[in-house]
Amino acid sequence: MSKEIEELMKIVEQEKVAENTIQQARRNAEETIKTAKEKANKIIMEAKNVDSEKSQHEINKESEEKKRRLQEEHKRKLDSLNKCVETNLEHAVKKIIENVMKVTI
Amino acid sequence: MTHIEKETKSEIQEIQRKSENEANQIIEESKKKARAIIEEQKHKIAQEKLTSERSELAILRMKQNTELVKTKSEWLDRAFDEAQKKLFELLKDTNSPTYKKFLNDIVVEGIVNMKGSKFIIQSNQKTTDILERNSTTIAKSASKAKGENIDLKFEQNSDIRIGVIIQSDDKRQYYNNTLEARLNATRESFGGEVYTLLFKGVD
Repeated sequence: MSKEIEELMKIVEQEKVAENTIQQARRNAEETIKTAKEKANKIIMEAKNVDSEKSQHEINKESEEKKRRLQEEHKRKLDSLNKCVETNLEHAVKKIIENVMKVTI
Repeated sequence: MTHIEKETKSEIQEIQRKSENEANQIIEESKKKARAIIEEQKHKIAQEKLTSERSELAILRMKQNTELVKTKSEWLDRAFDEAQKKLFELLKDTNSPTYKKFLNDIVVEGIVNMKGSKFIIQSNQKTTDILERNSTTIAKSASKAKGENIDLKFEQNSDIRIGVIIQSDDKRQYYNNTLEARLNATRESFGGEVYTLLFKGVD
């Protein structure tokens, strides 16, 4: 009889240890999930802050490039215009003089 | 190992597996959400930038067009300024045959374009002297061109540099045939053609 009680008490003890171990495992699991949630929040916060500046910077760069190209094209147009007119100026002046001197009677 | 220990180990492994799976899923979902946030932000910024960029580029193009028009207008002014300088140079010698012929022609032209037969010709002193010396010839040319006898009087007007202002005898009509007036008229009637000549070959 005493041996049976001893056996029973041993089982109870084992179950108690098992219960504690499982509870510890559950606490560890909760901790793992809590850490994962914190990491997830950090990932999202970083996405909200850092990358918006990066995108803005990239888009601004593209926009500045477009303006630069437009200004270069305009400068080229003006240079070409001035060069062309310098060649045509003398002829145009001659035609104005002819027209002013031409008398219609 | 007892049965209880085996059961405990198995349950602990199951708890660990489930928690690791859940943790991995949370991280994966957050990464997915982060990518979506970045894409959305990029799209939002791109849309906002596109609108402001369009207006900025439109303003820039407008400024450039204004500058182009201004440059062309300045060239046109320069062509007329140079023509004026050359004309003053060409006509500064009032005794030259070129000036005398020009003078005769502009007087006749003015008279032909006016009504009546009696006219007053205003000009500076030197030109008035020439006109008076050649009055018979000029009156003859004008009479022939107009088809009636023309009577001319001459008056000095020191404001006139080159050319003449012709007035009817009753002073109700006048014809400004000074060099400046002729240049203005040329700019008005011939400016378009000069513009075409100046900017020929410009892309």
